[in-house]
Amino acid sequence: MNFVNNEELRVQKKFLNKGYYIFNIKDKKNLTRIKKSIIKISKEWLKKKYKKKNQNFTLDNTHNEISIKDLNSYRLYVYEKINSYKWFSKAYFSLGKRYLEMICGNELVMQKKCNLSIQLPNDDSSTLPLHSDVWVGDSEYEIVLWLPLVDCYRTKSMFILPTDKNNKFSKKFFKYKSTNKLFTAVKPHLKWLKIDYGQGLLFTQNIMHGNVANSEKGTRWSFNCRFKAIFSPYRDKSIGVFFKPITMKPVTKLGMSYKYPNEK
Amino acid sequence: MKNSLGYRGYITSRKVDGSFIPQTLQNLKIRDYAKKLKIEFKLSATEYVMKNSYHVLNSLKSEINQLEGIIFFSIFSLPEKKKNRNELLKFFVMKKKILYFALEELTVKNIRDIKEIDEIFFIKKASKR
Ligand SMILES: [Fe+2]
Repeated sequence: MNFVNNEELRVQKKFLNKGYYIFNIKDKKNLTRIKKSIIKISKEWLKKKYKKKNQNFTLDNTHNEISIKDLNSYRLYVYEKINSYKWFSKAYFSLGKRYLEMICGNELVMQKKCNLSIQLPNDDSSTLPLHSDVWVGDSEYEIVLWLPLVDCYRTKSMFILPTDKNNKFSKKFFKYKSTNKLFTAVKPHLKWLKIDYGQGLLFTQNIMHGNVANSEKGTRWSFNCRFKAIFSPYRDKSIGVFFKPITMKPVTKLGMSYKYPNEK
Repeated sequence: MKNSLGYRGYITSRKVDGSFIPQTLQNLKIRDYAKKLKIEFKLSATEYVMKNSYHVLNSLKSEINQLEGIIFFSIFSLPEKKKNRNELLKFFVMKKKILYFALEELTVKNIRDIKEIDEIFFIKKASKR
C-alpha cells in the first residue's frame, strides 16, 4: 500500500530510481538570507585577517581573495559563525522541507551543524574521495540536503554512482582491495551532478559519491546537512550528539509524557 | 615541526578491541599525541565499518610517499590476522615510514617493532581463551 498523491509518487519514484532528486528552491527569501550572510561573514574575515576592505567580494571569486594556506581557518570561521545563528538551521530546513517530507518523513531529526565545503580551483587539499557514509558509521536511513551557493557543474560539483551501478559494484566490494582500486573501477560510470544556485539536491549516502579537485574556473561553495526520521536506526551518529529533533509532532509528545495510572 | 610532509591519521568505524569509540574521540587522541610528539598531523582517513575491510588503509599505501608516516588510533585497528598485519606493517617499514599508535603510545619503525606488536596481539588473544 502507498497512500500518496501523484506528485509525491513522481518524486519518490525518481529518487528511488536515481538515488537523488534535484529541485528548484521556492523559499528565495531564506536562500538569499543565507547567501548574503555568508558574504557578510567573509568580508568580516577578510577585514580582520588581511585588513582588506573588499566591497565587490563574490563567492565564485573566493580564490582571488584567500590563499590556500588560510583556507581551512577561513572555512571554519564561516562555518562556526553561520551555524551559531539561531535562524540558520530553520532557514536551511525550509529550503528542502517540501521534498524532505515527501522522501524522508515529516517527523525529522537534523544534523546539529550544517557542513560547509569551499573548494578553490585546483586545490586538492579538501577533496573527499569516493565513499558511502554508511561505510563509516552513518545510518542507512539518512538523507542529505546539499545546497550550492554558486552554480556547480563537472569537477566543481560532486559525483555519484547511480543506484543500479552502485548495487552492482557493492556486491564486488571485496574484489577491490583498496578505495583507490574501487574508484578506478567505478570511474567510467560516475555521474557529475549539475546543480545551479537556486536549486537543492537530496541524495542518499547509501550510494557511493565524492569529489575531486575543482578544475573549473570558479570556487565551489556548498553546504550539506543530514536528516532522518526520528525513530529510524541511528548507528554511530547519535541523537543529542549529532542530531537534533526539529519537527516532533503532538502525538509523539503525548506518548513521551504519558504515564500509566500506576506510574508516578 | 620536524618535517613538512606530515602524518596521516587513521581511525576506524569498527569497534576497537571490543569497544565502540566515537570517531571524534579517536581523532582527539591522535591530535593530542601528535602534539606531544611535536609532529604534524594531517586529517584522518576513516576505515570502513565492514568487517575485514582494509580498503582505506590499503589506499594509504599509494599516498605514503607524500607522507612521513601514519598515526593510528590503536594497534587494534590493524588486521587481526598475523600474516595480513605483518605484510602491511612491513610495507611501510620498507618505505622507511614511521607508524605511531596513539592509544598505546607505541612506534613501529623496524622489524623488531613489528615483533612487539605480534606479542601484544598474541597475549590479547591467548588471555581471552
Ligand atoms: Fe558523503
